[in-house]
Amino acid sequence: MDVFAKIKHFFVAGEQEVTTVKEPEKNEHPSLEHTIRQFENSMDFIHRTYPQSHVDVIYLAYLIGNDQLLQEIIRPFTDANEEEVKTVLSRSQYVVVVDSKECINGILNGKAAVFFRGSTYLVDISKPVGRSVEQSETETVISGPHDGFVENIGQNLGVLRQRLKSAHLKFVKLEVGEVAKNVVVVAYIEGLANQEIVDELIRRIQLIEYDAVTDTNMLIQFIDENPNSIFPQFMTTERPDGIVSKLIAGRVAGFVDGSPSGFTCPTDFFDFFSSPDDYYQRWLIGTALRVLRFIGFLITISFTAFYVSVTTYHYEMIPHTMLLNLTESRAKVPFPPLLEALLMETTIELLREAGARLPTKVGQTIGIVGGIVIGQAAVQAGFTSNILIIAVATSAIASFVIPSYIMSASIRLIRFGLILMAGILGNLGLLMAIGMVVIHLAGVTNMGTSYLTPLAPINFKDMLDTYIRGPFWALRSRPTITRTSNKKINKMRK
Amino acid sequence: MNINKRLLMMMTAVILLLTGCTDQHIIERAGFVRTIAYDLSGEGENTKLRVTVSIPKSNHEDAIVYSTMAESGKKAKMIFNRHNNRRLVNGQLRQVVFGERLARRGVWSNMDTLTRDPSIGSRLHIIVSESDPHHILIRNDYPQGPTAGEYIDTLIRTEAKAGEIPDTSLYTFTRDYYDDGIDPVATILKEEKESLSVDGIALFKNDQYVGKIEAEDRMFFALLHHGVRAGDLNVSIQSERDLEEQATLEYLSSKRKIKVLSTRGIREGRPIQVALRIKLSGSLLEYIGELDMKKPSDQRKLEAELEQTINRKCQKLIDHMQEKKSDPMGIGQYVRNSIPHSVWKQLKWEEVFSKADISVHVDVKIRDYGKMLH
Repeated sequence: MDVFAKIKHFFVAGEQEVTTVKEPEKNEHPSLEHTIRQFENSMDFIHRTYPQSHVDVIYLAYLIGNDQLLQEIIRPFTDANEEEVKTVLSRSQYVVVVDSKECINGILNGKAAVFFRGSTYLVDISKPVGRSVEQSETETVISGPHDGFVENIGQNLGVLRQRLKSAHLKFVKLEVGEVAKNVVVVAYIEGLANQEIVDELIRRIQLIEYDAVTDTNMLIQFIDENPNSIFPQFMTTERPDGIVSKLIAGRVAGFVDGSPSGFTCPTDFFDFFSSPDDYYQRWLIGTALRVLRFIGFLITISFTAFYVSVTTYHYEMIPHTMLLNLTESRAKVPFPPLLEALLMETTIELLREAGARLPTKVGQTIGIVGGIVIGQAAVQAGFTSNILIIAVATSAIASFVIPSYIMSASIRLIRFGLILMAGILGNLGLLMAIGMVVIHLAGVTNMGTSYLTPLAPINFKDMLDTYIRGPFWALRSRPTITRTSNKKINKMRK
Repeated sequence: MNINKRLLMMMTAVILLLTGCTDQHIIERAGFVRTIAYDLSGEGENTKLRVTVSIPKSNHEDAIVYSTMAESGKKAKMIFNRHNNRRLVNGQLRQVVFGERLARRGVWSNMDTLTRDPSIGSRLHIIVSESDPHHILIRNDYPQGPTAGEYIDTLIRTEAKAGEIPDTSLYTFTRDYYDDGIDPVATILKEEKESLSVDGIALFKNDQYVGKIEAEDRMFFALLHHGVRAGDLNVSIQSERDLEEQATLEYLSSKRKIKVLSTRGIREGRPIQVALRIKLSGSLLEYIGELDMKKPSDQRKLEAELEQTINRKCQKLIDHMQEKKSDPMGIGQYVRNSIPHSVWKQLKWEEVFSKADISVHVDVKIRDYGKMLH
């Protein structure tokens, strides 16, 4: 679709929205009656009046903090005469608003609107809604910082500022969602990030047409180039140190208010296999961990499929002693290997999904029960062969080695396709399926860069920090994927 | 987008078209032939083959053995298939055993079937049996291993690993069979009361079993035929100290070099001159004799004596091979490389080989003589 048509469509749609909801025209002076009309029928809407001083205060009950309310509203206005109110309102935290829309937005953001003698003031009495900084549960590391992002964007940006004390770090605030008006912040380091990428990202976020965008992982699906691809195309993380290292490399980050994760771009496929932990270990250990993850990836997508193809077609490939055991175990199973494998894979996916949905304590019980049922009983009952149990369990475990949960979920789904192809055409089918995945990966782009960088297009320098985690003395340049103008590390040319 | 669509259509077509012609071998529905034995069923020109197959059961202990007379191996397989409840497949074939009578007549017609079948791996062991191969397979009371197939497999493997016998796989056999200037060899097995034993090495001329290297000479043959990695060599030395002394070199490793010294007058039938240099070193872990191994001079002396004895043994083996006109050492290859191809093509190599003047030079080094106890 033509970009301009899209933009135009966006604005037209926006205007229609304005006319249908009975919102005031812009630049209309805020009035008490109008504001009350906007919020009526909502139980959290509070309207306080101070008759002796003709002050009306409007705020939303659950957005404000009691201390702030006491200090900014109740103490100054209770038993105050008009003169005293005048001096109070001249203080700097009381901001005059002349736009009724701005007034309503302010109330929605946890401010109190003070109506006094025809003029309106906004004062911030909001209390941050959300939890304190905790460890990220989806991305844990053993060594290194343990804090994760929280749902409050202000807190997240604060954490980022604390870690990256640079005046070049810029935040751009955007609004997304016709109804919910979620705040999205794009962060980048001026001079390091490629301005074209920043502009393009902002443009794409502005083009989003949706009622509410409640999470970063949701946002990135609106702005990626291949919406039908199975792979996530923007790296998301809940770890501030992860975002900081990406920003310093010249990437652009983004946050959605209300979401504990941020995203970075441009992203390549191999980004999803690196964890901040790699950099806190000695480089050889970090390298070994990365290689292990790639092995895990291969095992996840192909181990069960390989079992199916070998037991169905390529008995020659099995070592003789193992073959006899396998035959004995398979002889009790009434299903062909393909069906057997699909059954087991589905079972383990059920188990995983149940574990994810249930409260932690019940989840553990499910794990134990499932483990016993799948591990022992299924084999004894002649439901599956024991080698398949090993294959399925290994590939399930291997899938959790991948640090990004979103990527690991994608890979687990691909596995089913591979198993199917292996069951139909054996190793030929397996290779065809892997070939198709690779072809697809090579076609995916993210912010204009190839998803398979630095493999295709090949770049040996970048490989030092992709397939292995090179020693810090060797990592002298920022990745080319970011298209940064400051290629050398530790030098910032402005 | 367009390419994706085309690819998708192609994939769908391939999947739909190929599902009809799968060759599924779901493992529990297949019977894996582990060992196959060929022998002649009787005397005479038109006698049939006697084919025996051994299929191990999944309990690791028993094997199903079928035996029949047939014109060819594949025909026999069809007969066996009529008996067996699982389809017989060749993909797990590990050994082929040829009876001595068949081996003397020529094994290639059967070998050809094996090399053609793509499911048969090239690491299949080629074995010549002096006893009835059918009986070797049908026995399952070997204390060393539950089934004959597994027993033979492990036996050959361990022997070949140390380099004491040549690794006679389907690959090496066919390679040497087709190659110019070298003849294949195979391991000879013999049935004993309680076990099977490696009874030597079969020398082939083309595909015919013509001669035998005795089991006690197999290490010397190994020195001539290829390099040894970690073998044991026992040598009885006839020393001038009028006693027969015994020396055993263990963890022996050797290297063999062949040099063609002279090919002059090869067309006129003059014998060619070839030098074989064998370098070997090992730990002297057994020495029953009078020399004092602590003295370096005595060590040198023993080394020289060992060299002489090994030299004599090797020379004898070479004479035997020349007599049988079988050249498993591949001397012909070296000769071929040192003369013009046109000359080689006119040459009758087996005749030239049988008359060739092959000298052996052995260089023994005693690496150490074991733990020092005193």
